[in-house]
Amino acid sequence: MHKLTDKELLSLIQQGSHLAFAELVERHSESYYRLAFRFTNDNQQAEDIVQDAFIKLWERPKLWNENKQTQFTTWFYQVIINRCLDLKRKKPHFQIESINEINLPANHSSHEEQLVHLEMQVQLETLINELPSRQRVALNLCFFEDMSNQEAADIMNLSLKALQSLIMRGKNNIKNRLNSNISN
Amino acid sequence: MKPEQTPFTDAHIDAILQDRKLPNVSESFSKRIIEKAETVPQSEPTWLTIWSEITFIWQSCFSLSPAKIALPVFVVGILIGGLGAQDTTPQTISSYFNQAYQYGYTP
Repeated sequence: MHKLTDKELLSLIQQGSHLAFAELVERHSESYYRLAFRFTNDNQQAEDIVQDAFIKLWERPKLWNENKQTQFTTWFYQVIINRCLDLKRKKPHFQIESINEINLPANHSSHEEQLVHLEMQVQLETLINELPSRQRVALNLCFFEDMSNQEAADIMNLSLKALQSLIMRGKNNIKNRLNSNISN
Repeated sequence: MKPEQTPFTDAHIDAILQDRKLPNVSESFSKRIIEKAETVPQSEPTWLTIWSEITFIWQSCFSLSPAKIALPVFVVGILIGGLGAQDTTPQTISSYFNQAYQYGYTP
């Protein structure tokens, strides 16, 4: 079977092809869901964001403009991130609801170690969520799957240097907050 | 010693960020999106829908789009048709003359 490119699929979607839309969703929905979860820490919200974005794309497939020479994946990451940030603006009170559903790594064998790991993860997610939005986006993208810094910079419309500076500031903020928690 | 009792270094922060876990997405997630889209019409109705489905199936099997294949097939068809016509036309004319001769025609 010949694998169609995203561009070919989108051109068919613009002509009304459900089959092409299904192929695009199968190909990408999982990674967009994972990115949305990075921002929301909530299963349901992450699913809703990705579903709404894809349905919007189906309704108005010409929203993606190939002439702008942006890859579909880069453009759609921007769409998902903007929706996540909108949600955060509408619901500023952050609550970690689904973190218990995350499978803890098997090497955290004892119950105590698992609890320490979970506690650390909750603390980390809370701290990341309190960062300025650009630092948060940069950290979420750069520590997301196999995404390179250049891809993250493209998604954020930044130079590589500007992205690296955001990451540095984000990490320093987290480190300072964690260290001040220890000293308190 | 518990990790929260020692000051965090850059390496710690990197390790913690790398160690962030994500839940697995449910298998039916993409199916739900696809089913939902089937109930939603596109904002600009298109008459190309059936053609686009044929194109999708065709392109999934072959690398060339049917539109790109249509032109060469048309040209080859014309050529074959033309050659066939060249081949048959003299025979048809001569058969008319043969028939005419049989009925006593002299040019």
